[in-house]
Amino acid sequence: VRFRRIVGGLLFAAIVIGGADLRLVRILFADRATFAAMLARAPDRRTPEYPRFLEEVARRTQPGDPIAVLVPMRHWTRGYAYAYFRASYILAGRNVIPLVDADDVEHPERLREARFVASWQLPALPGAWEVVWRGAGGQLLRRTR
Amino acid sequence: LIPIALSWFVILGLPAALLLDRDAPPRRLLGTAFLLGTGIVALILLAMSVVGVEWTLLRVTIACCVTALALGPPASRRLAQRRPAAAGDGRSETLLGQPARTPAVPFVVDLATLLLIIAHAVFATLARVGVWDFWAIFGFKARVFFLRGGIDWPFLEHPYHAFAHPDYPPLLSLDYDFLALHHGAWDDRWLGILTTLFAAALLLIVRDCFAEELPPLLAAMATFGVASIALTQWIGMAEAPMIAFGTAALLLIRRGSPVCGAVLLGFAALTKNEGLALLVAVSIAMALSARRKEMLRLWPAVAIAAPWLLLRAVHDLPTDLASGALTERAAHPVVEVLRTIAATPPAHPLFWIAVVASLLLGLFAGDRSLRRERFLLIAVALQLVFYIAAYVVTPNDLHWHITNSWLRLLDQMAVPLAFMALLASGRFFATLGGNLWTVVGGGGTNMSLDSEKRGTERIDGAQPRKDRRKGPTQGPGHVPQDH
Repeated sequence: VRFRRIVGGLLFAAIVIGGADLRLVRILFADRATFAAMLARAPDRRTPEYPRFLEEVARRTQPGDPIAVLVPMRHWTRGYAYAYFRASYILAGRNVIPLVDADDVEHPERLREARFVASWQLPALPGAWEVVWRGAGGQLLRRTR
Repeated sequence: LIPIALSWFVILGLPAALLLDRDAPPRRLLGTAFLLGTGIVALILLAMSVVGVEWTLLRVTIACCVTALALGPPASRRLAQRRPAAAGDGRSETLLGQPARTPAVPFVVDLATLLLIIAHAVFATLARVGVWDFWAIFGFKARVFFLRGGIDWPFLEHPYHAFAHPDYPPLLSLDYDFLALHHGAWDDRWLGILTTLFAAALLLIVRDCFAEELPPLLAAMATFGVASIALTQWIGMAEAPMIAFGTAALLLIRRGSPVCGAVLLGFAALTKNEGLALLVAVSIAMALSARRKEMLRLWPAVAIAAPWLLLRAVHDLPTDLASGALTERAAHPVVEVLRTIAATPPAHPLFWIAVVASLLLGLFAGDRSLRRERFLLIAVALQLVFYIAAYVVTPNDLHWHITNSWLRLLDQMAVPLAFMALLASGRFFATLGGNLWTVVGGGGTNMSLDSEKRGTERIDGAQPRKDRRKGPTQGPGHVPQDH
């Protein structure tokens, strides 16, 4: 019986010690500004300019505007999903149009739905598009006809 | 105005908590109040959207005031009926009949838990919420709803937005909207605080449930042990409310508060689809653990979950797990699922090894105390089976799906599992110390009530007093106190 009690005590201690994540407490004594900057960069660490580009696009468009997202990434799981989801969040209220679907099929015909194109790290589109603004690695294009 | 929004959660939740769990000691009452408040706010915003009233701060505040006024009078009557002992911490007198004294050592351990909560709050609000599921799902929908002034049904129905899981229950997104309405603009800089507060509310409830079962020092230590699990690293996602609602519901139903537990279970179902699964698991567990008569008292959970299920059916919102033919989707053998899960080890290996060993100890060694936890064991086991079943039929790549979700799902059941494990090992441990726990911990525990029923010795070594059976901190064998 005493053995079981000792085992119980050891297991109780193991759960408490094993469950307690004291790394959390270190944050109270760490350089929080540096850590905050690291956390802020985390969602876009491979494309740090992209959110800034989208914020500029948001500043120059209105809620309800249909905006197509054109980026170099053409595979859904290898970049396009990120680019589209991120644009959807930052451009919330606008109608953000994906030009690639989850099966990696490109849909250039959806450009017909768009009044704006948020084109990032790609050359300007030819034809019926004018450059509204250029910067942060991309350009905002508006349909002219 | 965000602190005002957070205060509303308690203002609305407190009368509801008094109505549902009248004799709850202050800690549990506060934790339950916050959780109920977040659920009530979500229901208010959902109802306004359904009847077509655009959200504005003024309208939402009026709706909150009306709700508070409606809940106030019956709650104040309940407050008057509250048993005097319940007004304290439930341990104003120890089981030995000694006057209560401030237990210093458990208090220090509680301070350590509080330190963890503060550290988590700092972590959660260091920067804008940046996890993928926040800005692709919960935060994204909340931001769209906020800009629209209500739930944007055409947005949810549009196939371009299927990635945002339009079918997911909306509680968390609606709570974000409540904060945004008070802030006057969408700002994801401070929304992470909700993750911490959901966990803190749960820890208040867990602390009290442990206090009903273990000596004060062990109860404080056990709460400290599960704090890091409740304080989830998934900032901004629905894990924190799911863990809080689900665990609180399980623990309250277990201890004999089925109606309050059922309401929290309903809010779990309004938070995540796993909450709906938990509702089924709890129902089956009650049926299999000789609590069939109490099953009907789960009706609030169904009543809370039903409107969203109806709305998502009316608006034909797609559910990825239910897409396509079942035969096509059941493509992953269970063995492959289990193998992939085994290849995804949890973050705290020592914790999990000790939890499993303690559960085995409680089931098969000594007094087999865990056999009294049949309800909780079955409910948690069934929920884990449901998770595995979801992987079997997932339309997604199995490896991707498991590596991206299993640890989060495991966290949802970690606190109830740890609760049972800590009770099992703690009961053995407590008997080792004899009077030690009374000396350093400042009193006895209701664990002795179970011992009394079994005719065994109490953990503090004293003889049981029959007149303590009606004490304020009743254990799981206590008559339900819901009204």
